[in-house]
Amino acid sequence: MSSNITSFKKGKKTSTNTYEFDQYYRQPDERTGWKMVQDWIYNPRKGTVFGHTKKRWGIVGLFYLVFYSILALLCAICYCGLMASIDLHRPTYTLRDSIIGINPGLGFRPMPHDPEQRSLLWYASDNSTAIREYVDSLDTFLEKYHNKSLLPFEGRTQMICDYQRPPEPNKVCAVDINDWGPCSRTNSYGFNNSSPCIFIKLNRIYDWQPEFYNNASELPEDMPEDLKEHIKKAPKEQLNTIWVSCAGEKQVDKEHIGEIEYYPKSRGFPGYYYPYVNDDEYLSPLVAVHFKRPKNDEIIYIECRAWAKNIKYESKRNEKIGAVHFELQIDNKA
Amino acid sequence: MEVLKSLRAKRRAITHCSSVYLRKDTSRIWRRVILHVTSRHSDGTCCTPAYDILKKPSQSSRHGRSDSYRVATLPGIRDDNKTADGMYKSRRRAPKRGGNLDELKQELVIDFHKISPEELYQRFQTHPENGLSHAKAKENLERDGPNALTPPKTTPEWVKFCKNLFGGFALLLWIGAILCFIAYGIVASTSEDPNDDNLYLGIVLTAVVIVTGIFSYYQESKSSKIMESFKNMVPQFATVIREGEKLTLKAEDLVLGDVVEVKFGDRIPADLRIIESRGFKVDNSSLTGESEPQSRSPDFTHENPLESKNLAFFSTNAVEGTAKGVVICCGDQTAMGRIAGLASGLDTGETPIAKEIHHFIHLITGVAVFLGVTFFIIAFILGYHWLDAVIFLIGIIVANVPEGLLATVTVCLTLTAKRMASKNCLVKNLEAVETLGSTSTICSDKTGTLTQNRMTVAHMWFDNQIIEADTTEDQSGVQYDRTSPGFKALAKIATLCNRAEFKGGQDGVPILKREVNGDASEAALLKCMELALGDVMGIRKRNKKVCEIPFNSTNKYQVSIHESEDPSDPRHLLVMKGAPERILERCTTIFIGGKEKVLDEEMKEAFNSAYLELGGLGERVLGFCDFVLPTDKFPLGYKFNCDDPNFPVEGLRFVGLMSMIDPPRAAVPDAVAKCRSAGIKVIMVTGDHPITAKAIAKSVGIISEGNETVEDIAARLSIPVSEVNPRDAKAAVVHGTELRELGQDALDDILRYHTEIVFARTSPQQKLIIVEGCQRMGAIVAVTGDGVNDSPALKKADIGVAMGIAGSDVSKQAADMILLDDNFASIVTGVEEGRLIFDNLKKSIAYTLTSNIPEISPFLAFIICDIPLPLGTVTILCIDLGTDMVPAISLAYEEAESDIMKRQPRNPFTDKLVNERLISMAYGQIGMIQAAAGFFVYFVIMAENGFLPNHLFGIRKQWDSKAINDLTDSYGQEWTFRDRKTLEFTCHTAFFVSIVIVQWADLIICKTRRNSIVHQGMRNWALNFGLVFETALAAFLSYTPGMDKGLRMFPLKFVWWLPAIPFMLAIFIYDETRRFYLRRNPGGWLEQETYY
Repeated sequence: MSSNITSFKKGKKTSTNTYEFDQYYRQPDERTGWKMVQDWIYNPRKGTVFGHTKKRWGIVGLFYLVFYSILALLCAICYCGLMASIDLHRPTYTLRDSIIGINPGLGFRPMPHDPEQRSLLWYASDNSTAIREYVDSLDTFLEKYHNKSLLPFEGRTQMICDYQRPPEPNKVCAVDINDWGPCSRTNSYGFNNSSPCIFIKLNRIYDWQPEFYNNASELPEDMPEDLKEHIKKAPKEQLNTIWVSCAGEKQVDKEHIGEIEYYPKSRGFPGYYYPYVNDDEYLSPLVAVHFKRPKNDEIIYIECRAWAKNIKYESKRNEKIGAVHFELQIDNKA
Repeated sequence: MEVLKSLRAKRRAITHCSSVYLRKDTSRIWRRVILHVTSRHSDGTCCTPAYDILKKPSQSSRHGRSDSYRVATLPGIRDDNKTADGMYKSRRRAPKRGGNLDELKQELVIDFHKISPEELYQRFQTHPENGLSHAKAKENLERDGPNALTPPKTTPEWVKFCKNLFGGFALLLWIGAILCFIAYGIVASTSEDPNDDNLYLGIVLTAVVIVTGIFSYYQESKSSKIMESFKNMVPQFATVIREGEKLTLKAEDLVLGDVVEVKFGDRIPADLRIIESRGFKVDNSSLTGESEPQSRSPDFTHENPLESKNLAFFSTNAVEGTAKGVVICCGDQTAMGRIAGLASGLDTGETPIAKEIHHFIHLITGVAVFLGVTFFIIAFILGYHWLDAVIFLIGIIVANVPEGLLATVTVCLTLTAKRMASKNCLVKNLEAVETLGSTSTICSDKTGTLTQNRMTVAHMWFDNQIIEADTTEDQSGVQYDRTSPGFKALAKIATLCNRAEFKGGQDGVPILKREVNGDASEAALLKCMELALGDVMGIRKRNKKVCEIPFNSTNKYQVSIHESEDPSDPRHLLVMKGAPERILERCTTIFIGGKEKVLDEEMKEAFNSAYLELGGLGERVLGFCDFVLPTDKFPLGYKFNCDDPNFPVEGLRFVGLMSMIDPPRAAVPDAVAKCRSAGIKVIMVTGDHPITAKAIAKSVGIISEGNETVEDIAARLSIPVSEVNPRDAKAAVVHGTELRELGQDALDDILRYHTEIVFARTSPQQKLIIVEGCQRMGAIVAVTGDGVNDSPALKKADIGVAMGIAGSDVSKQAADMILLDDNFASIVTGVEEGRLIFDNLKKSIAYTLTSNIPEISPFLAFIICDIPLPLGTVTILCIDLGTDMVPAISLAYEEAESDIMKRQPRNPFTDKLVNERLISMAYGQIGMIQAAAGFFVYFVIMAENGFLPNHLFGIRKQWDSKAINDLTDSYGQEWTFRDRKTLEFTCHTAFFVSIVIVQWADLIICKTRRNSIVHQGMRNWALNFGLVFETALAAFLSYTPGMDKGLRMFPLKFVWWLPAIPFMLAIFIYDETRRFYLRRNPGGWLEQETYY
């Protein structure tokens, strides 16, 4: 390949002003296919390895080394430029500008350990290893809540907040772990008694401020009756809450789900935790949903929903907006 | 051996066998048995004239004794459907000739011209007066079939369609599609919610292949409809004598042994042995290329059947006289039929561009498989499930396949074909468009291709000077002086001593294009005189002819006596023309300078030198003389006796000479010069005389001034030819008979060491052998021709070029390209376009391949670095089939960078369309910069939305998990599955847009391989449009509402178009610098490494 450069040379000019070329014939390549591959790998006659002499490989290697170094330099400059424009504390785009949008999702814990199982919580009430797994995963999730020394500043920026007492600058609101009633660590979160607690949390979005349903007379149609009752009965200052309700999805699930209890008693995420502004020791507020007596040996489809004026709700088969879906099955063969 | 047995039986039956001999190569028993048998049926009719049998050595040597049963029945011999006695076994037609090409390549070996007429009648069981009996004719018809040429096998339409659908590139895409479907099948069967991407990709690939296949099939079928049927070749009716009566039969009903009568104006209906003739002349130009009509007589004059005077061949024209003949061969066995059979039987082989595309496919497949396997292993090492690793392997292999390239190549070739069609070059199949650009040798026929195929008066000699006549087609050359008395006398003789006449109804037609009844030389004289004097018919009327002795071959002159037009002058004028030396013998005086002078030695010397000079120019010379008959002996009303001349035919007054030649076409010398300066060797291959051929070669430029042949050197140095060193002679003129004796090596020597070659007196088979010789030397050969005798060579050549108007249907059928206006200069156009499209295809491929790296690398990063996928399948397809198509096609409109007609033709073994340098440039350099741009944009978007770069590594599994609805980013925000998938798809869109942006720079740098863009300019408007279009398409795909549902492409913030710009500039600056350095250091290592 290297010997036939197509940088063109004109033929020799003859006396009659036509150009003539010396080489009028070409030798066809008569090697067999296998021999050609062999020659390409190592050709002892020409001293080439993979088609080039060692010296050529050296030059090629050097060329590419220089090329890639310069390219890497260019990339580095670009990345430095990028990093310089990024604020490490606050995302460049928030809320509507960002793709995260203004509609937080909901999450639940414990997550099933097998990602294939996705949203099914299933255990037999006498299977202590399965129960142990769920309890352990909840423990891991809640360790920062239980042990303040795991926080970056050991909890020094946390303070106790209330509806009347929003957090001071540079401080975050603490989450009271004693508000969860039977859904506490000492009680194994209820898993031992076939009345598990599932923790619901709202996704954090930087700078997102909820619009609460704080007027008992302006509640949406599809809000369940028990929540409406709860809101009507709630004390006035507690109305700035994002309400949470859980229910079975279909009629049969509604029958099997049994009684539900919400902890803390405010049954929602209090407004003083918002907006989230990326404080180091911020802990998301949680609502523990206690399923007191779900029907055993049946799979129950449960949907938990958060209620605020700017949390849009949409329920499609696979995805839910403004809600979370999971299945619960407790086997009790005894 | 079955045939041997049958031949032994035949030998018993044969009574008049003249030459039957067996030659055994005794060293290996039956290794090679060559029979030259002119075997006949017991009734004397001929079967196939001669055949060459070669036994496979392995078969015979395995089986020992030669006459054992097993050897005798080995199926190495073709079944010729005849019994041992030579009778046909069944009542079907003679077997198709599709089998043995070597047989057809042999020269015609028959002896019907050698045997005596009685033997001839005996063999065919016919009678000269009565012809065949009806019964015998019927029997022969049933035995041999009709006297018609079997039309060539046409490939059925569905086969052509399948070839378009599955050939070359398309195969690669089919394999890709199948792999996609397999991958989808695996994914669908193993997981509940399969990713549809593979399915879509497979469907899209299939659709691309089918659409492109239909498109190219449609293009090719349009051009093939222009080909007419074969039937025009066959003459319609013939006059046959059977059982003593004259019948008019369709030519198809003729059989062997029929006695036929032909007259002038007829097409000969079958190969005939002439038994009677009266002034009969035929035009063999379509068979031998000789433009001069040949006279035919019953005499056996030459061993070679094509030269012998007593044979007339199927489908040649009778131009004069009448004759009677016996049919000796009909249908496919005729000389014409054998040539047509040879032409149809030849395999055309692969076009150069098809070879290049195959090479390219091998290269791409190699790279794809290498990458795929490497990452398969890496994926394994990283701990992926083996099924996932297989999916990755398939994904990488498919991503390497450039989907849009097939359509791009097809469209580029189509555009060039259309451009060539507008310049009157019809290309029959798309790939032939490029072949002329790679051509390194042109083998051109002379008659009708290089010349006008029309005798024209070129020179005259009178008043002791040679005057040149104007032979241009439109009389735009130098005009000669027509006022001298010498000319007037000469013109009078030429006008009067001439029996040619213009056909009627041609008043508006230019003189040189009018049709003439009569001999070719007389027609030339007639036209010349019409141009010079005007109204020849009027002159003839005024000079009434009273007596004439027509031309005969013994006397070699023609005489006529006319009354004078001058009423006051009652003298008769005797005018004579003929062979110059005979005319000179009969003259005693010569008319020079208006005066009559005695013909002395000095005058004879002048005459001889003029005659030699004109003859050396290869022209046909005629002498003219006249004599005014005195009134005392020959008053008005004298009864002249033409059969027994009672008037003097000696002591005449010599007036002058006229010489004629079939002149070259006007555009040819220029075209030949351009071809030669483009490094293409031009060889003339003709059936005509060597001297004429050499003269035309000199006038056209095939033999340039100052170059001598071996004979010229010998003449100059006055030494015998054998003492001249052949290497000294640059030019060579090779006669057909010499060629017959040369072996392959000697022919190769001639082709190799002589730069200017003329082959004369070649038979059609020899033309084929010459083409094969050139191809053996590694040349890519173009053949131009117009007659049936050119068709095997046309078929065998890498590209055959036929004349559209003057060409016969057989040659048009065999050719790949047709010059619709018979303009040889169009070949130069073809070469230029071919070279240009080759260069532009290189650029187009480089452009398209470059975007492969930014398409594949996201996937690789996905596997290895565990980041969310930066670029999805749908966006890859949008690039390959959407935004990259129009710019890639627009590169076909790019102008040539430098004078491409001053370059050597490319070496097909080393100068490939796609070589490692192109791959290294596209994949290793520009592609990497593009990938860097894409990744940068990806990280920018991720970071600005909350996922800083270092957070992304390792996050893949969680990112893709539908279960995790709260993935944490670098700022503690939690993302639902839907939101982060929207983020991912926005990144895909942005990556896609940034590829479009860097491809702007890639397009501009791919415009030129060596020149700077400043030099080349941006005048390619299709390319400018392509730039605008691709950007508009990208914007459309990103911003149109609804795209997010279908294609999952989301609108981008305007600032996200900007991060790719520094890389775009980097590409541009890098390549300009590289090319600058390349121009300064030609031949340096940078060129060796990066100039593709």
